[in-house]
Amino acid sequence: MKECKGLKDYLTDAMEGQEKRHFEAHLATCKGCALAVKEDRAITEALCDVPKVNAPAHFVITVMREVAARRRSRLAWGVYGAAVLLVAALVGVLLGGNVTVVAGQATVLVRSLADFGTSLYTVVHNISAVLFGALPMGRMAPGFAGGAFLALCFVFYKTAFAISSDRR
Amino acid sequence: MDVTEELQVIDAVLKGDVDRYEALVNRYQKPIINFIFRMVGNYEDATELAQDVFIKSYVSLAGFNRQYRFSTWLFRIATNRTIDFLRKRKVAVVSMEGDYEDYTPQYKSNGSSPLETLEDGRLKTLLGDAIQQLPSEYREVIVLYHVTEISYEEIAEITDLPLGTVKNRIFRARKMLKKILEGEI
Ligand SMILES: [Zn+2]
Repeated sequence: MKECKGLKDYLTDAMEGQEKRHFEAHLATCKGCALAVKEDRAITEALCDVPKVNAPAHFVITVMREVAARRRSRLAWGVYGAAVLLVAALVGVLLGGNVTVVAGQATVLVRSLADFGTSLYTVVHNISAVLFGALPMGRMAPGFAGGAFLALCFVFYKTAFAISSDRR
Repeated sequence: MDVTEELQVIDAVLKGDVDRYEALVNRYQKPIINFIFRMVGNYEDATELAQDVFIKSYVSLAGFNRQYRFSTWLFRIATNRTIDFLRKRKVAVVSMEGDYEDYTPQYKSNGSSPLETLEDGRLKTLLGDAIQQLPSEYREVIVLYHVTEISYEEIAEITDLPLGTVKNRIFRARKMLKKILEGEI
């Protein structure tokens, strides 16, 4: 049976005002459309009452546990990244001086790493100066500074490990 | 929780207050599970897929576009994930089709519409199963509209379809359901 024009629009709320009133007048005279509308309403009503299921009891907890694990691994990667940067800075300090002085071929990257390393070096030196008493910037200073760097890296590593393996 | 509150929660989560995400999971767990359940027809698969959806949504939350509602974003992820799952499971679905003898409706031929003579509870159960027989592109819109009660406009955004196509598919899907229930397919 071929359906009349407007039936679809009428049944999908795409009709209003005059057009809608026209179609409703048509419904009173057209048995085909009247039946189609009636059946569509029956299906629609039944569809809205199709039984719903509930979420399993631990659904939210399971999702949140997984979300927390994702976040921890993301944080851990951040800390790992920082540790790698620190090591790179240390290498920059150790190499920076020699490369520029001896070969004069330091790349921009090594230079900036060296600069970054130097400033970090100063910071660490200051910290170690406080820790170990007034320490002269003599031959022993790089040793202490290096040790402090390694200790710092170790702390970073332990933190990262603790975060990534944390179980709540 | 209105749209503004949802945006506040999303901001907090993005700033690192992950626990706030729980409010969003709480709010949308039921509609998402029901949508997926009616799409895949299996509760275990539905809850597992729904978990994936909420985790995917968290992981990619930084890419959330504020001009949409969070529900649109979430249902977008859910439809993609579900369609992907159905594609992979296609073979199994085809082999299930033998179980549908039950759909031949038990109506008396007294000239009235067969749908009228089905008792209410039985119609709902049959309908739930009949939805499973619709092609997935029709099932998707009919479930979004009637089961999860999402507007035509939002469905158009979720599915990236023109509004007219959404309405057309919903209209046709209801006609298909009627036919399935009458045992004509
Ligand atoms: Zn007509």
